[in-house]
Amino acid sequence: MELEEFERDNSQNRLLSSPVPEICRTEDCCLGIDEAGRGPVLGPMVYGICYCPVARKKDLQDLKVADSKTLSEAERERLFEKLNSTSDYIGWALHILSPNIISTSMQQRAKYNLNALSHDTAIGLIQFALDAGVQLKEVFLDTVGPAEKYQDKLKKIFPELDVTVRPKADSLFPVVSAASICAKVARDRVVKEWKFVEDLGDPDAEYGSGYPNDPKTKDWLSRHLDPVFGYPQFVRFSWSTTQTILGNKAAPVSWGDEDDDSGGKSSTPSVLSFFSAPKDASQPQSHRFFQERNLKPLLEF
Amino acid sequence: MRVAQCCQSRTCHELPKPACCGTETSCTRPGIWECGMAGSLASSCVRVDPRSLSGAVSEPMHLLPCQIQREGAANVKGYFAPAVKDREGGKEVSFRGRTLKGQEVSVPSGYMGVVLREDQKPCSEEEDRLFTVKSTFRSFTQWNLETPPSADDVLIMSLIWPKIAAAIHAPVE
Repeated sequence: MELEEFERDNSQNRLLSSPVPEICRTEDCCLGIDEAGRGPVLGPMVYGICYCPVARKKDLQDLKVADSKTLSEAERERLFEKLNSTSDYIGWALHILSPNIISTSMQQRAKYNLNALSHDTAIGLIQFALDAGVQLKEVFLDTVGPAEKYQDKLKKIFPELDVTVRPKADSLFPVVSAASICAKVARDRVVKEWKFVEDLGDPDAEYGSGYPNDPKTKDWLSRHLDPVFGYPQFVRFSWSTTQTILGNKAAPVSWGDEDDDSGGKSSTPSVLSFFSAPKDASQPQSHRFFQERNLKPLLEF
Repeated sequence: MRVAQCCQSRTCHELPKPACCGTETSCTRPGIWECGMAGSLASSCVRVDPRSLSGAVSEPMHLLPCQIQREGAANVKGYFAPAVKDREGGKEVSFRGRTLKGQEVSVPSGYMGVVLREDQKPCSEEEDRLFTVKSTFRSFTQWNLETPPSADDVLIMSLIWPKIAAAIHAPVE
């Protein structure tokens, strides 16, 4: 797993993948999708896919892959190495979503929520496998949002695939368990060795799991708050945990596009106002040239 | 040397207020160092100590598309400057989890950017206000929220004013 490629610029997303096993180009394959790090307030969210020929499902099961949450870190590492070295019939790919991209996507003017982001990432990975030449037939994944709706959406995009969206897919289908192991191992490694793009003199790595209710995470967040910048990009600004802390302890920041704060209704003028004389008609208006450039006579310094 | 022309005539226009991370910024024409309060009865005067200019260092400047309600120093070198990336569409960074896209903008020729500091606030309105030059800048990075900077940005359009002002105040031959 060449995580250095992501670490070189962790403000951006990165796709990493194993070579495609030759057999997966010629035989019908099944593919599992799972994610790691959806809930945490720190670090990236990692989407993983793992695939193998349908005929080799049993062999994959014999590797004793299981839902990554039921395994210890050491077991996950060992299983990942096993999957990675079984390159004759197992392939994988990972999409690492930078916390910076998660923050800026969720907070952009045209809001992009986490479910949409997750769906698009999963769709992107299926497409990646197809483009790489994997002869895909079956896709298994856990749901994000209502399962039926998600399944319909995927079937519409990939009508030639047999898509199964199932809650707890990571414990039901070995190929999804394998994907969850790849994703979790990548997320853990990246978080453990997070390379801060900021120049903060190596902040301590005592941030725990990154889940908002982890006391270590809470403690780290309270110790590393900057009144102006808030946090390094490692922290997801779009999480309510972060917003609450920033709202209480950091300097308030107002952006020009937040007029929704005033309650929406008041910003729309009454229709009657169009028929009344403008309030400041007596005041000389400055020329359009100045108005457009936001230029005003300097009367006070 | 009491120069009040800067404010009394209507030729001097205020540039959009920058939110340069807690520092006060203004563009000043070299030579005008004092400014009377036009139209007010108070005789107070804004002075800039010209001696402080020689000791002022040149510093990178960032103009953010938001207002940070705080006065004081900001750790720009720690949090902001190292995170700026040169991407295909220009400079890119994020602030408080929002994408900023930026470009380097030069201060109009014949002008110079200065960051002023008022060490002591006057007690009354009659008292003069004294500023010292903290740092200077010849260019700054203009940051837009999500949209790449363009020639249609209000800021860029406003920077044409010094040129026009000079032209309309030039002696008619």
